[in-house]
Amino acid sequence: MSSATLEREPKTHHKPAALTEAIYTICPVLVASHIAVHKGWLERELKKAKGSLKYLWSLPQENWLSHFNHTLPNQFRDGGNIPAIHARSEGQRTKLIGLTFSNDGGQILARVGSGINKVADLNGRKIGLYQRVKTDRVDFWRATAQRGILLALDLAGLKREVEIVDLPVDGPDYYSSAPTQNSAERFGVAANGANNHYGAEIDALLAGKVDAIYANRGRAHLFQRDGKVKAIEDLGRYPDWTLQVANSPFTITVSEELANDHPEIVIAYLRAAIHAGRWIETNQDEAAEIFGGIISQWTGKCQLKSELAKYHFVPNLSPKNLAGIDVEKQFLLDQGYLRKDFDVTQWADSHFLEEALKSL
Amino acid sequence: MSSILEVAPVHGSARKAPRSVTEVYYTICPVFNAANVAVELGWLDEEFKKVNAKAVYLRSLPDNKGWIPHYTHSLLNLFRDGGAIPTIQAKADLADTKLIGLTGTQSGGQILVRAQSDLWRVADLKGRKIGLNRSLNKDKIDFVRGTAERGILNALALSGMKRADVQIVDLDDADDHRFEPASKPSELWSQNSGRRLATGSAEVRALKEGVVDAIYSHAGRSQTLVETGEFKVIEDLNNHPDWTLRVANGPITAAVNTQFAEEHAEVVVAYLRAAIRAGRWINANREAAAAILHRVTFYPTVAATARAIAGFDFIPNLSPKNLAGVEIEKNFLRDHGYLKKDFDVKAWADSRFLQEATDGLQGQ
Repeated sequence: MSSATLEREPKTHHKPAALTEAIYTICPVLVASHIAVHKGWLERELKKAKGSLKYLWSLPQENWLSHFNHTLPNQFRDGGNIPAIHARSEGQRTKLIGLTFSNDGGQILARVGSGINKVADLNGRKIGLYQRVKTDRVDFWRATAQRGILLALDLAGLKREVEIVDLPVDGPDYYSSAPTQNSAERFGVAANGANNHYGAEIDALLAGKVDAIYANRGRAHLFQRDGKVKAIEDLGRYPDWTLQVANSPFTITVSEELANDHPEIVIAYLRAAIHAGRWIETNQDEAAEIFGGIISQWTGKCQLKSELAKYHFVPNLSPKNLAGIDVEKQFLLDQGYLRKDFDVTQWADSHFLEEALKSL
Repeated sequence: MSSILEVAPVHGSARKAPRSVTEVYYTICPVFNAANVAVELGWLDEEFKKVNAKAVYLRSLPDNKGWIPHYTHSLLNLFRDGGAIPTIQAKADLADTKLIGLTGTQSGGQILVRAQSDLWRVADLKGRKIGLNRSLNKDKIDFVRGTAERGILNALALSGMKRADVQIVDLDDADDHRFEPASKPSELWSQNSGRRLATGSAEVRALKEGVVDAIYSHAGRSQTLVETGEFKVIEDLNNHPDWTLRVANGPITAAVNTQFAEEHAEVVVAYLRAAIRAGRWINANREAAAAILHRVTFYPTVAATARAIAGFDFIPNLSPKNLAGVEIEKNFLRDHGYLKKDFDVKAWADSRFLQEATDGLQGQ
């Protein structure tokens, strides 16, 4: 696994009007930032701090890679930890300002009627693993699945008895080349339709090319709707929290330049995220509806609501979540996704979170 | 222990209280039971007053004198409500008591390892070291060890292993704790000794320092330890459908001296009235109950306490299943050398008091 290389000089075409204009980007995962945006709280808080806000994906396409590589000097990013860890390892000057734990872990899927009922039954069989051909960014999709597969094999006492089959995919890079104004617009329709290059694994499973694949809980749920596949393992059902480190704990990161020059903007972001996190915990019905427009893998509000009940949405930098980042980083180092190690405690800066909590 | 008996006011003692007031001791473990809440809500005092009795917290005795009797039941007029292991040992070998109520609120316990270790399941512990507490205090039963030993053997059995498949490493604990006198349980535990003792124990140190690869841990303590990021749980005995795996220093037992119960049945009924009222209240007011129980137990937060008590019935009973749980715990202790004598659990349980308390509360 070769690690993606980032160019020293960030290729950013978007020139910020002022540094107080913050760019934000959020992965399609269950984090409070989505609610903060939807409710207008993020914009309101930034405005109070004399800042302004732009959605990364509303800019021209040449800026979009910064979602993964964090090359923009004024960017907030909330979501999967693998690109955030990778960007930091490559020397991007970012600060880790918040974390939220996901208890997903992911599942192993097999075909209905395959006679495969547990991971141990995969002895001598094939597991499909997504592989991104381009190397302009870290292959977080592969890394997440690879970790889940290796853990599932460990739990079943299997090692090399299973063949892991690479499923190479070469683009398209994005659902659409058209800019979008927010996450709901970006993910609401396109995520599971045509042009979804993350369909390689399920296609290979359904075609019989492989006997099992990895999928996160939402996708596993979606894939099972047709009755053709079934989950034979769920890493989220174990008491061991390290099994649930799967591109998570989710990271909120910010460009160091913005954080140094305008800490008030960073505090404003976190105020909105904390407020949203607390709100979700007492308004799960409405939160499920909002998330439903962004994460469309769940059938209906009820399913998503029961999913929300398993999460804690208020960002923190707890020892356990920080240890989770260490667990993920170690895996990425061991498997060659990272070229350089770094100290997570140096990356995390709790100052902004403390200020935000104090001000609320 | 004789000195304690001397300071203990005998019921009806004219010296301590004028004629009609019956003074009686009570002691409650830091566990999920209704008695803890009955005390905090003032209902124990209220019910005792109705029968001219006065509840005295055992741990209000000076000079740590209430500590050992909490385990040995060595007073003549003591209600003990809590973990089953000391109650069972007292009945078997030390004191003549009656079992008057049970609560099935215990959790099975977990197997804890270091977060960064390459251990994913109990099967991976084959040939490795599991730490087991060993109290050096001979005056009381080692209930910590009794609970952990059963949990470890159950976890191994679930993985198709036996004791000989791992190395059990004894971890010595002086077990000579001293507490300041307290007027009620919440005051005792607010000395904060409980949480600190639990997370700084010899077992936790041994695991942290790599002396052993795994330990058994109660879920409340595990949560605190897991939050440090240094540990993880690889087995949770609560995750199985088998309820007998949840017998872990449980079910929660309420016991009282036989002679006292015979002479003062009305006080025993009053105790249970308070507990039943509190149990009903907890069942109907989970969030508020969690806030109270958090003050007398060891889960890290009120929210964690609320999650831990969800679904439990807090009204004391003597149900066949809970009695069977006591039987399982007793037989384990007997078979592993914790008891000298065996006894009949069914004959120990006396349901008359519970029946009378329940009848008396009808319509309330």
